Amino acid sequence: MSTVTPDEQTSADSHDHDGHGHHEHPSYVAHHFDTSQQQFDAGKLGIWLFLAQEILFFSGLFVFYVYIKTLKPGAFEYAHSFLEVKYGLINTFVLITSSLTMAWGVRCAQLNQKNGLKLCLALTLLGAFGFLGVKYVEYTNKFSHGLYWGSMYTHHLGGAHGDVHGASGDHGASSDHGDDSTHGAAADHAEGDHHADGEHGGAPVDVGDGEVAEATTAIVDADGPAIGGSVNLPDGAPRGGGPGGTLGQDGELLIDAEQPKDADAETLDRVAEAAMEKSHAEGLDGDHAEPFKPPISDPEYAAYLDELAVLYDNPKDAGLYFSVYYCMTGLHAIHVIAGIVVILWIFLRALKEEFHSDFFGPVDYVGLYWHLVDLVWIFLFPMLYLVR
Amino acid sequence: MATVDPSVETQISHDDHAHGDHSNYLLAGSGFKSWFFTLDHKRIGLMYLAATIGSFFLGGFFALLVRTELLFEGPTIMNAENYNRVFTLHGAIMVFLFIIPSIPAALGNFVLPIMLGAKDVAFPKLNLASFHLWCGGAIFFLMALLSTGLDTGWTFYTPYSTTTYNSEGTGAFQSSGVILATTGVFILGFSSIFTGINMVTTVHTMRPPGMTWFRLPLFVWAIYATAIIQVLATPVLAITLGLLTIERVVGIGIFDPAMGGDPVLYQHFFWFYSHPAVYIMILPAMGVISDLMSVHCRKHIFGYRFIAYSSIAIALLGFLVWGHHMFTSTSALASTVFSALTFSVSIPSAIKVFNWLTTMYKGSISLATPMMYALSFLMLFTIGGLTGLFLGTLAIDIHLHDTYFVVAHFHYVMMGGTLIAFLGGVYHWWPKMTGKMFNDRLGQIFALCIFFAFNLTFFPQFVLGSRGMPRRYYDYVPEFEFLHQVSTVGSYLLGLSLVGALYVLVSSLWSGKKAPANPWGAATLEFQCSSPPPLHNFDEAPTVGDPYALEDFEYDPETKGFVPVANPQGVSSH
Repeated sequence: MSTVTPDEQTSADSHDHDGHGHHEHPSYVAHHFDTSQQQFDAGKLGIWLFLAQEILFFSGLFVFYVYIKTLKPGAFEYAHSFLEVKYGLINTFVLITSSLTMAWGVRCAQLNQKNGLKLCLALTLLGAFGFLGVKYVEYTNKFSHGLYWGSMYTHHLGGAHGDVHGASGDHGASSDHGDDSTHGAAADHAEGDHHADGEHGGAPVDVGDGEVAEATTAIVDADGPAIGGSVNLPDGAPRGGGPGGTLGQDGELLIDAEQPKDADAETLDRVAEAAMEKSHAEGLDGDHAEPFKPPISDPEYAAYLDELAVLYDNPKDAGLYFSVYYCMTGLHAIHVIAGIVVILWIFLRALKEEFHSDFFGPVDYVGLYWHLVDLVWIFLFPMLYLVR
Repeated sequence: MATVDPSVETQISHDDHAHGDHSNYLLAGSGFKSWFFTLDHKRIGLMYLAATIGSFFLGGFFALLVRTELLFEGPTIMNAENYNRVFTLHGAIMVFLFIIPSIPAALGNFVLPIMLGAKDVAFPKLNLASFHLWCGGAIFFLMALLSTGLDTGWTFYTPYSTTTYNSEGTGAFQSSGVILATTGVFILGFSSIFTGINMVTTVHTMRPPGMTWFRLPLFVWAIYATAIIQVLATPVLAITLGLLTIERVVGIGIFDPAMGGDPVLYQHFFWFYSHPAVYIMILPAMGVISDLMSVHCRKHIFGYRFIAYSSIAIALLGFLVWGHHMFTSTSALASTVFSALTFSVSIPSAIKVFNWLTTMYKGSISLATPMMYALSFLMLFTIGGLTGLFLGTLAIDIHLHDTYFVVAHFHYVMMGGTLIAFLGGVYHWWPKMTGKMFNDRLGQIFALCIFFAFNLTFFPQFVLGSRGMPRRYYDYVPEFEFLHQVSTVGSYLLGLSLVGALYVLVSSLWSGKKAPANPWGAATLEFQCSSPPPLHNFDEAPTVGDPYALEDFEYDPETKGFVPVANPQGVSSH
């Protein structure tokens, strides 16, 4: 400010008819800045501060991750095995490449290579969309097996939307960590107890097409906590509903149920029969069909995971892990989408040839943002996909 | 470096351009759009001022409702459920709509760029966006608060906030309001973050030649430290409330023990922001006081570097003490560590108080209205700060946690501290912002009334708390009734005094005398331009010197303001 000469003392927007002389400001320098360099430096600092707060924005989720990794290592190990590294690798490669094209674009802008800039920005956008595409595939894959977050986790029930098979015999044990006696007991009275447990609010549901949709807490063991993420809430309490299921009157998880109906013995018999037939048809003795197994090729490790499944294949363990997974990758994906929006904006400005070697700040700043999005993924990928 | 030109003052006042009155930012353009879509930091500051003061009186109204309910034992004007809603409204409005934006956004926006001799902040459009986010967030937030049955307290503690659904409400109150309110706070949070980004960048990149870091006014140091906290802490609140919302909507289980989560985790997340937030509240206030003390005692601030460094120390240490809000939720070891750190963060604050006192010593103390508030601040903030130490002591906190002692403590620091300093700052810079002088005698009277009424309201609450009165309770045992009544009477007087203080300012707009450029004799740059400033702040480049070289200015009875002396001493490195 003190370097302003008397000729330029007047307000900036009066350079049309003001006798004091035309402002020296180029059009791309805002009027409150003295020089182009000052504007560029200010913008740089501004975007770095923004990135700093973005890191802190993710920090809560990193803490959530550390929480489950250190306090629930078994759940972590079991649930994490469902993640397919190949998708993560593809995404990592795509994102790093898009960071490369973005940086290249900044360089093009600096060197006045306008067509190069347009091409690089277009490639970056392509990479961003590609990333989202892979994520879409991954997510739908998981959803189809019931690998949802928290209370909507239905993988242990065979997973897919409305496709629950058979009695939840195993599940009596899944929330009792290491309580084998309950496991045996649950398995024993898996079929028979359906009738007796009607009073527990294990309201069964529509039976049709040979498919059985059933309330998961048909078995609520006396000595075990409620399973399947059933939280005892007062009547009418709103809770997460959705493709996985809703909570019924007593807080039990209902799969594809419209209303909790009173179970009569006849319906329960039919349910139990249909379940038994189905599981026999699939060659399993007495129990329900196996839910989708983690894609592990090593048979020993797969067997180990089967053992872990007994303990952790439920909403409060594996489901919690997937809460972390979806929150972290979901928030990251939201930032990718935001990145697409801003890169598109810069791309449109680049098409209008707004950037040149004296003015490329916005490209630089958007580039920095995109690098941060990439950096977050570079943390997410090993933390979620690689670490056991 | 140029010397001070004695004719600068005259040059500025004669600088009227015919085209669009840029001699006065208030006259440069009129109509709603010229204000609501302005890029001028001064207009944005004024709009924030009006908005935050409006929020303050709304929050204050709910405070008076709370106090009225507590006038007598048992239900007085409302039942327990509505009481919970009213104190939630009071707290949430005051914290998120008033106190956090107040000094940084209203006074900081107006004053800081001019103190730097700049034409505007670094990112004027981002500044406007901050204001629009405040407006949008405020509308959203208020609709949420006023139309739902939100009764979680401003802290939204889990598991209540994740499971409450307000079954007994009817009509509009059926929604629990949690998601609506947290979304509003989320939006307001980004308003705060953008202001922080703007201030840090402005201080780094838009200082004039010659204004080194240690030539910055202390108000700028304070805003800078505050802005750092705003940028680093607020996103943590954003993700916390985001996780709370997701928990409610889809049940991820993070704060739900039945789902493997932990409600205390919420407390950690929440207080990791909300403790630094209280430093967002107090640091700018301290910055105001530093400038007020120096100017109104006609004395160079004592211990400039100590005050500057202590601002940064408070900002940094403030991130380490969040656990002192959770002594009863954490382990003995964690509590001990947090207690020790809490003691350490009190030290820089104390350093400032000593420096202000020493600045007053042998100064020529004027009791103009801003100084009345500065003196109030000194006393009230000291009480608030010391009582914070009691609360930070584990053995005592066991008895005082969640009692009225805590309520009294934070009202002493937030209201006796930040609000009083805010008022002092508004009065101090009012002539600059509006070009009008207020009635100083009336201003002094109301300032005194506020001081007495404040103590009448809140001092009994220390006693109530130490005797066991819990906070957030709408009823109490008969032993507490007298002190509650004293407090309530005090609160009515406080409300009236505050309205009076506002009246003094507003009435100056039509009956106040024209203000000189430098009514108080300050040496900082904002008083070297006319009152009100021209559109682009300075028509002539200002001279940079020691911001507290008050001896370089002398009173001129003709203009009733201060003018630079012929041979300035202060234009040298300090």
